Amino acid sequence: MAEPRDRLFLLGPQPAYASLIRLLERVEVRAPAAYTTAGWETEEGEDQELREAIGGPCRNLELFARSEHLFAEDTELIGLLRERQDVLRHLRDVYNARLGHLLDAARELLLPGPAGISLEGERASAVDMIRRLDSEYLQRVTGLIEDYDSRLRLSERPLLAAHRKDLAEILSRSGALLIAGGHVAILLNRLRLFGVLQHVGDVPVIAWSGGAMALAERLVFYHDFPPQGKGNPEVLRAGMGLCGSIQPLPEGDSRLALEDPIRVQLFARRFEPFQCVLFDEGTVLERRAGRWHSCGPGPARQLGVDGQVREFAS
Amino acid sequence: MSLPRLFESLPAEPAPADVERILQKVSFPYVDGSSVTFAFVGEAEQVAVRHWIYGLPSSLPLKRVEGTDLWVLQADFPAGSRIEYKFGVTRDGHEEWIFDPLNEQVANDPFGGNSVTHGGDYERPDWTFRDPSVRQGRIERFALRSEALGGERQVGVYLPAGYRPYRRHRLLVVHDGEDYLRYSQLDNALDNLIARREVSPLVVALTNPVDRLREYAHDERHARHIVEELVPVLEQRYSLIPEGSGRSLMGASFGGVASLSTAWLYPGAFDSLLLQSGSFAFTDIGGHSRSPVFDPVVAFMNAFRKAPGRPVNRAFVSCGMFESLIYENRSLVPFLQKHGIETTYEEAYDGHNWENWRDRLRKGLSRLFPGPLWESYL
Repeated sequence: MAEPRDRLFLLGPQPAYASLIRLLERVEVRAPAAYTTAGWETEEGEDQELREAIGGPCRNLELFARSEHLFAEDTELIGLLRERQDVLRHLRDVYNARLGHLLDAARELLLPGPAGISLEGERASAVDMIRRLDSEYLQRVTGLIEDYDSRLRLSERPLLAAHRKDLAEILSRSGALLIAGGHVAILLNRLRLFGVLQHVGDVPVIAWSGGAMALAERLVFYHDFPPQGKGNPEVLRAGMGLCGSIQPLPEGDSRLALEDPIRVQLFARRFEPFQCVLFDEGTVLERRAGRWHSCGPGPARQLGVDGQVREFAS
Repeated sequence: MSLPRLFESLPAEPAPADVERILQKVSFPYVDGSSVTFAFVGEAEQVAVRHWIYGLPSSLPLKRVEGTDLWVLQADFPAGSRIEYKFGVTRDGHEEWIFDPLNEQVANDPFGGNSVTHGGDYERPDWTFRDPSVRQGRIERFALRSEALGGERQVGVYLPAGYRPYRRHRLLVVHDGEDYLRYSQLDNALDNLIARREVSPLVVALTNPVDRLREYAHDERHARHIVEELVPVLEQRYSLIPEGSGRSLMGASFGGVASLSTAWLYPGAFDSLLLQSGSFAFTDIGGHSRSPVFDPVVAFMNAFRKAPGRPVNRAFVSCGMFESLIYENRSLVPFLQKHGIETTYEEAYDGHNWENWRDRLRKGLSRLFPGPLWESYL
């Protein structure tokens, strides 16, 4: 895993932008802030509240609108992306089918067994099988995306190149980059497509909720109470890899069955050595001088391998 | 004061003012946990609750409070029940079915609607109401000439707020589409559930029959119309996933039969089925005791049960426990599962009506068309 960048701020969801406003009061932003709301998709432009929260001069990078423009014009590009999407969807179905069985087995093994018989070996093996599947799947998806990247010849597409150049200019004059949440895969795809993070210098990067997740080593989706039944946490693909050992879990307090020690334990053991940190509304983690600091009003929390939710340890 | 105590407080020979006092203190039907008390005020020879709850006598008589023109009935219903009913009021030997004059709650349907009450903790789901903060989809309507059925058909197409012509969308073809809009608020459900990201932004074709009981009762011409006439036109007009894996059918009652029958006649043309209170009558031996309009349905279901194949990959089935069709729907579920169709089933204490079908939409739509809630962290 790569070392996280300094001047990186990860926040929980911002329904009223309270943590963001407090943070911007103390973080020095010397030039207009650039921000992206690409994860909001077609509502990307409905950003008035965010602009007010930022307070100072700022500019929406309009990554979603740029991608829509690009896809409408470049039919070969959209064709290949659709093809890639079909393959990824199929791989994901296969992965989830296998994952479901492994998770069921591990959850059963993690239940208290008969007295006097240790099942720790079996439990460790069950968790390890899930970790291997995650890793194998991640590798497969990463390889596939790389293959398509070379077929897409992104650097040779004039319209994309024009957008990238424009964005590079905007970012070179920006004093911070702010990344809102939303649909994480859509956000991540656009950050990658336009090479946004390549053009961000040493300025603060502030990401919240799904935005924080997009910057992690990998995207992990979860929801223990979706309307269509209990879901299994799944790895989707590699993220931007800026968060080091932090695996952000935005909305974790409402999406995860935190009172269920078996689910908590399995989640934490499955993703070790990553620290599964709950990003609730007030959570703020700052990367400063090579260390993570919790700067929210309350302590940040993480999932423990013993099934308990505990205070985040840097 | 509780209702029983109010009644106990009536004098031995109550006056009209005593009845008025009760009506002012309590609104009827009076619901207390699983107990529902119906009341009617007026001169009559008999008053009865007329309902459609399979398993109970179809007429539940109210009892006159001696010396008054107040009629009451206390009945128990399971928690979470929805009960549609009318009062059968008999005067001069003639029974007239009327809405409950003391109850403002009404469920509309193509037959004129009913009064509604509920047992215990039923609440109309919030996502069925219009939410002004949610972006609405739009509905386009056009006429489609049908060689298969003869004449023209009116088709509505719901396009979600986020519809983009260069994105591919899933297609859901809905039987009785305009009735689903009018009586089940399908548009509200779609707008809200898509906005909440519980359902993916899908294109919904709203089809409407002309001769419903014939067309929907396993009529090959109807299936041909849907698959060979409607779907190609929709694929031409809208940005859809151009293959069976992107298409689904939905319907209630006979519309459920039409959905299953169309998928069975065109295996692979659809990925999934959303079937609500399907009229899936069948016989294991001998004839059936339902109306003759069920003859082609029973013939189809018997043939389907003999050779189901695997017409679709997934199905969502729902039915009300107060329906006479509960047995058929319950037995369909393991049957579909046994034949490799991933099937989810939901039932509720409700009847064969549009609000039951409305209340089940969230589970059905989010199951078959899961939205990006899973991928969204706002």
